[in-house]
Amino acid sequence: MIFLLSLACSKEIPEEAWNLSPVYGVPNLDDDNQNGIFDGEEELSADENDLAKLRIPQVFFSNKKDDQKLRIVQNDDGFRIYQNGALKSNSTEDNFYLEHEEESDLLLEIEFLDYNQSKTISLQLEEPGEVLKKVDIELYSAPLLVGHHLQPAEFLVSMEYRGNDGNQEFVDAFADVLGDRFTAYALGDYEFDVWIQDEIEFGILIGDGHQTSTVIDSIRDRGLAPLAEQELVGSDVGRGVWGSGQENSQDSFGNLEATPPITVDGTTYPFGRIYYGKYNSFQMTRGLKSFLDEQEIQAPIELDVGFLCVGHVDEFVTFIPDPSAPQGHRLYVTDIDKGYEFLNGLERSHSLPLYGSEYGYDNVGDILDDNELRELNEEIQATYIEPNIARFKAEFGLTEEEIVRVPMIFEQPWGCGGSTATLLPGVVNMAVFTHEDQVGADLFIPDPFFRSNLNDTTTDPYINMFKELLPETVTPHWVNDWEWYHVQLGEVHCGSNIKRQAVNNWWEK
Amino acid sequence: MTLTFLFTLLSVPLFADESLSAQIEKLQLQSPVEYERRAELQPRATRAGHLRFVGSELTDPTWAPLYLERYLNGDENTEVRRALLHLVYRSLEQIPTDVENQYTEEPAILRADILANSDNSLLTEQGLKDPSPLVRAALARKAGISEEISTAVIVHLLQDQDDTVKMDAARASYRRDCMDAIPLLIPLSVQQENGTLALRSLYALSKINTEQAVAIVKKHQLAQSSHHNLAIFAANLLKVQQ
Repeated sequence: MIFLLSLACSKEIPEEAWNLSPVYGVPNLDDDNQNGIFDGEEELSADENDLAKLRIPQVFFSNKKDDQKLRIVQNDDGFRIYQNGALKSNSTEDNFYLEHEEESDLLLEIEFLDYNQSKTISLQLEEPGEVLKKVDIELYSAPLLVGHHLQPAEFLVSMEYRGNDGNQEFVDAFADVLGDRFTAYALGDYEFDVWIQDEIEFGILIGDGHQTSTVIDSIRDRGLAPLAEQELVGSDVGRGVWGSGQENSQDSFGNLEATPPITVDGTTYPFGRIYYGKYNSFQMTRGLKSFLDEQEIQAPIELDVGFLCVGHVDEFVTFIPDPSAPQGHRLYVTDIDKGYEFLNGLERSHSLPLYGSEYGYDNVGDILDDNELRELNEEIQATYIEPNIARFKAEFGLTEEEIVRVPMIFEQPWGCGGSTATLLPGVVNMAVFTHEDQVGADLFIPDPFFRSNLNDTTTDPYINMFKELLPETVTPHWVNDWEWYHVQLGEVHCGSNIKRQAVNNWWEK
Repeated sequence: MTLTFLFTLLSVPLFADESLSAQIEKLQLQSPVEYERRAELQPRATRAGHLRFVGSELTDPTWAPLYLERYLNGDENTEVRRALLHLVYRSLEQIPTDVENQYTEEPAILRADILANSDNSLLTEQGLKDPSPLVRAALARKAGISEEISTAVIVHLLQDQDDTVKMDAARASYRRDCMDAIPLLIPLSVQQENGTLALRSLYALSKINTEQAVAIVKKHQLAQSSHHNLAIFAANLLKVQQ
């Protein structure tokens, strides 16, 4: 009996128990109870599901001596600690003793309140007047990530108007393929602003076993400005606005993209790198640029897109999953030399009725004979396309093998002060709806209408050429975006938006 | 003097047989429903932000008088009038004299559009003296493609105080193979305040006189410029030369 008592008195918390794993969570900035208040700004609701779990093994309670206590000390501000839903600590002013009678591990709940934060708490074993042992536990909140085209798509959204001369053909192209993974919002409710790509970006937040999203809402102040709050914010979807002041076109999110995972000079970017464009002195709002920089993991770079009237990176470059490529994807970039090479391979008399009515080019010969157009395009190739390709190689670590040059010609639309947009619907300006396997994808591509029979895509030499440039693992869908988007200086990507799911954890290299 | 009276006075050959108001009256009588639709039609915002009327069927020249009347009557705001001007131009493939006659009274953005698309040489002189860089830049772009405009205009605009005007003048200089522009393009290529202007100027110089452009790249080490595109273009220029 004495022996047994002695054993019980000598029990100790094993050394290895003190190696507590870091905690990874998402900032609690969504609205799980959908009451219009961000969760981090109110008391916990019954619907709350975004608190990270800190597990304190039961052995701490079973093996400590009766006169010993376990205390949690909050070492940083900016997060909260709960136990069984009750707030225990809110700042560095707070600390509390752990009480736990059950035969199971104790779960504390951590509520992060901001992105990409690194915090600690201390777990202390104390006897009256003395701290016997102490360990710091690392707590990390998720950085906000911009999605890339190797991440599976969850759903696609666009704007819809089914009145006379509406955009139903555009909308139906998504609905037919995606079914309930597609949502269209009424254009009439949003001042006929079709450019849903530009208003919002679905940022991804990854916690341990849990993902949420923050909609990055642009400071762009057009018809779609209220969309995020009215339609998107709710359970597991929050919203944030970064930056202020006078908006310009660089603040639209066709101008905010991310590469798939890349390795550059030995440095791996498991979530790719963010890229956006500047147009001469016009740049993305400083507040958002700083915020994206602070997320660190996607190390943003800025490209010079000063040749583009709209000024967005999606107008001239995209990434497509391709399992045969060295890194599982290839960059598709518009290329003028290839554009003229393509045109030279066609009959000069090849008829282009849509180009005749819109641009005055009735056939291929008309385009080839336009010397001013050719001079303009040669300049763009030399001063923007080639320099940007050089930057893709340097900053994204891409080789020529990983780059697909897509034939294209640019023109100077009315109202653009000499800047350009694509003459043919910009096929790289597509929506990439990636499948779960991260290999297959439905590609919603602007129909180039480079043919006389507008209803027969099989006779379109541009489509036939472009299909040859695509990997076999993707499925192209040719979308009529001519009237509503193309001649309005945008394309399929500009008129749609995709929410994606991450498949890897940012804390695991 | 009413605007309608002005239209009648200033009517161009396009509408010579009938006054503008008479043509509009006829359209209204012949197709009242379509007339109502087109009279109320509103442009939509392009992705770049400016407005544009959507629909290739709108450019039927029959309806141009209605658009012209909407443009001229001044009830709509400048952005809508700009879209109407574009629609008139898309319908008629020219800028009507009625529009040109109102040129000086228009805001800068409309003066720029009219100047860029009109064949009226009188507007060139006015454009050169225009206080708005938007208009002078439009003139520079036009000078790059119109043999009717003296290359002296390009040289003049290369010395403009506004960088956007100089950029468009630089493009115009190589399009017109303007040798007189070279002494101005050289300093613009090597100045460091505006990399985009330097890039445009160096490209123009390379098109007019490649050897001189290469010499400037070497002398000023432009391949090491902090402006990415300028540096890469300059480096590529050296490679081509080798």
